[in-house]
Amino acid sequence: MLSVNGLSVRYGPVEALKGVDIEVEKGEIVAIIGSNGAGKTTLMQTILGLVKPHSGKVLLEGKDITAMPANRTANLGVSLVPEGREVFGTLSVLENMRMGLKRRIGSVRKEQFNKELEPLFDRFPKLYERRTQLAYTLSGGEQQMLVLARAMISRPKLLLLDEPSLGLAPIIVNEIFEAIYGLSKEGTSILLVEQMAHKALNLASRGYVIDKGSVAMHGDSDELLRDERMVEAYLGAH
Amino acid sequence: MSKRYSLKVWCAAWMAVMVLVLAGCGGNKAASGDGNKSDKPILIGMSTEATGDNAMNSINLYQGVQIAVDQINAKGGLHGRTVELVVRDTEQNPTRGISIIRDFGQKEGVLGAVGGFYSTVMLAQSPIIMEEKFPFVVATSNVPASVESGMPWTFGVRMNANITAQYALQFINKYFATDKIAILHENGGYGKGAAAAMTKALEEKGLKPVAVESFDNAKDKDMTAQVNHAKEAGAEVIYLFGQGAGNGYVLQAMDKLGWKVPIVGENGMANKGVQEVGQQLAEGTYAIQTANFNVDQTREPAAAFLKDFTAKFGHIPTTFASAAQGYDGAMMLFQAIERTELTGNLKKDREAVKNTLETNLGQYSGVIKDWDQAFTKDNHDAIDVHSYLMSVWKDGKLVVSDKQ
Amino acid sequence: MSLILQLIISGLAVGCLYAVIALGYSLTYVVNGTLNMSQGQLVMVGGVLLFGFSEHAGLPFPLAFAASILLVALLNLVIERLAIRKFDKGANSIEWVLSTIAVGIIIQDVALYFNGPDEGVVPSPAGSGMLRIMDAGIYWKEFIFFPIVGVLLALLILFYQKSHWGLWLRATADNRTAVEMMGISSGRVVAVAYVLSGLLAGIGGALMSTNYAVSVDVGLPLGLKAISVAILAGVNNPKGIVGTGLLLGVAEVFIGQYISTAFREMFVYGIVILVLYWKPMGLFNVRKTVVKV
Repeated sequence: MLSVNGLSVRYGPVEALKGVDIEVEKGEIVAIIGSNGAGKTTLMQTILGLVKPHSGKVLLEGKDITAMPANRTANLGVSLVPEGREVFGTLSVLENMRMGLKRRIGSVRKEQFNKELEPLFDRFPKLYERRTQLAYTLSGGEQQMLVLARAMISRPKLLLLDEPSLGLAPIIVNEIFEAIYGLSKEGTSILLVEQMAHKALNLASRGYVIDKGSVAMHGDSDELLRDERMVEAYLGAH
Repeated sequence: MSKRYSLKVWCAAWMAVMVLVLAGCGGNKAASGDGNKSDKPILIGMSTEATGDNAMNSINLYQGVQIAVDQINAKGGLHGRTVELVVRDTEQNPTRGISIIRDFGQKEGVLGAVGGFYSTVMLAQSPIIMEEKFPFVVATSNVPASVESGMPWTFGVRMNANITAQYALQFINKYFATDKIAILHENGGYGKGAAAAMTKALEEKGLKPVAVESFDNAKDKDMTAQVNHAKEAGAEVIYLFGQGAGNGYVLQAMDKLGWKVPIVGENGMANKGVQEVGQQLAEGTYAIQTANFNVDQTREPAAAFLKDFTAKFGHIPTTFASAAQGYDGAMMLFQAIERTELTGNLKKDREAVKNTLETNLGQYSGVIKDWDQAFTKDNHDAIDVHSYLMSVWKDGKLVVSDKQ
Repeated sequence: MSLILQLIISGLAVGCLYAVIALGYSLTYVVNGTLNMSQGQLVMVGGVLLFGFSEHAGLPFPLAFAASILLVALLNLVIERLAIRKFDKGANSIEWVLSTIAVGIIIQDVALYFNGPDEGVVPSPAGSGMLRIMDAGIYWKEFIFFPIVGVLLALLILFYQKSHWGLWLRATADNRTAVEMMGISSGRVVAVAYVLSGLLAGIGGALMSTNYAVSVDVGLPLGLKAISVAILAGVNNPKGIVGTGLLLGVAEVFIGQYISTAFREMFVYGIVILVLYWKPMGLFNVRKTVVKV
């Protein structure tokens, strides 16, 4: 599904990513682990096209999307749930969800839209409660659910999640991870960046460890969970 | 001989030639002796407004001058030399107008100039003309100071606001039997000059205008306030001195308030903006002019002028007085130049032309009237109370009024 | 009494014109924080084009009207592409102020070249008759400003609320990056905002030229007046903008009648400044929202 080859990104003199290689198969959940500033967010943004790499390639289903601008990549079925959440604060929850339809917004009628909303509201009943409220009035956790639901309604082929558990209560984190799991069961490929390495590796089938812009380790999640270096560096706190 | 040597010789010879040529040219330029070069044109400055909300009216003055230039050149020019206009756009900006006068005086080296449609600019230009010392014919600006501030170098072929006000007052007394006059004027030099003049004329009779209101000719569209003040003051005639469309908005405001009184104006009431905006409201309103081209011309020079004007521009003038005054003013200047012996020394020639205008212009038969002696040392205004032609809007056209 | 009514009616009519132009400013300001400083000149172009199509080319009014407003909308699109896009690089960039001022001057000079300094009035399809309301008079062709502005306002609000382009516009105003993530080209949304803003300017110009003589220099003072309306209203509230435009029109007329005609502008702008002291964000600005619909 996704193939990242030799991706390098520079911000001025600083090298944020150095020759990164990532593979994600269809329907897989792949975890990206690393400490702050390692380059994980840069990786996500570059895959989507918000940031331009200075060398390397990004292939989606074999198609070269390296130079493609973010909105075109998004229309090919890539959805990003970014670290800063990026809700539309002054639009209502419902309107945020409508934006999630992306280009389908013109062709999806009201009944169809409500039908698609149903399973999402089932999974996130809080969103249903607050559906007419403006998004900036939602709590952090509710906003996270909103952006996830917004990404889900777009029926992505590839879902990029950047620290979805950040600042959230454990119960909510569980809900979110359940939703992610459900999505992958339906065939969505998922690239999951997480601080909570343990949880992420439990969910994912494979993982990559990014350290100072390069891939330090990678492999099946079971192997990584058992690896001594991992245990020391990243698996200390769960 | 070696190559270098012959190169040196060539260079030296070339330089010697250049020096001789330049010396020859320079010497001729600086000569103060006989300078009647029949190949050098006579330069006349033309200060006009090609841009700004008044440009469409200002152009009449310029066009009148052009006809004069064409006619003179067709007869062989002045002293056998072609008359050439140096045309500059003041952009209705006084600062720009001043720098144009400086250019005329110094850089362009004109013998004389014509201009002065837009009073606000002309008022700034006149003192500078006095400094630069070349004769300038003021062909429209009605503010008295336009000529007074430039004396003795400025010559007015224009409707002096003081004289116009006296004529208008006498007309209003005679035909409307009232002295209750409201002055509505635009807030530039034109309007303010007219307001001051009419106020002065009334004061000489021990009276005052019942209301004096101003408006911005370019920006104001709604004149309800101004008109209403005049109405409440009991005005029986309005002395209206906006330009074109501005006057039209006044007519509209009067219409809305359901108030109709006679309107007497001047150039501002003569241009087509009044008709365009006011339409049938303009019927019966008066415009003081010095010529009217909507009717058959009784004067031969006027007929010839109109014929040449229509041939060149494809239509009759849109502001009659300015076209006629531009033409007559330029012709008088040319007549003075022809009657002056030119020495080639610009400073002396300008002085000489000025003197001719003041003392030796001779008879001139123009579009407006016949003059025995248009100017004297003390009087630099060619147009007096007897030069006016009262016009009235009738059926969408400005025609000569029965009432004069 | 009828004088007061006359003043109010006259003021409202002029205010409608200010409102239409100010709405144009708000469209673009809301979507990417830019104001097209040549908006006034665009209004002038609308009026001049209508005059040209109608009087010189002899086209029937509806056709001339449609052609004029479409051309102005197109012109604004070009302005966005050439003068704004390059300079819109973040919240603090203000180069677009200078570049659009320059564009305005260029437009005015080009218009002067092609149109000449003449001013002209277009005969209005509403005729030249007068409507009398209890002794106060207003021409029918001025009176139609009211329903036209009302309809435009309603259409704009419907657009924002109901159409997906309106949603995209509000979303772009809120969060440009997120809009890109939703697969929408925010640049295209900005362009659409400019086209709509241009349409409004064209309509304003067409309205003008059926009532007042339009020459190529009417643009600048009108644009400045309308910017004051937009800022005074708070820019992000279309209803508030229309209200403020009408208010300013009426205030102008009353100040002219009861205080001074010669110093009217001074008083009007003095009051604008005082109001901004009291409510710096504008009279009707709604906080915590990018567009109040």
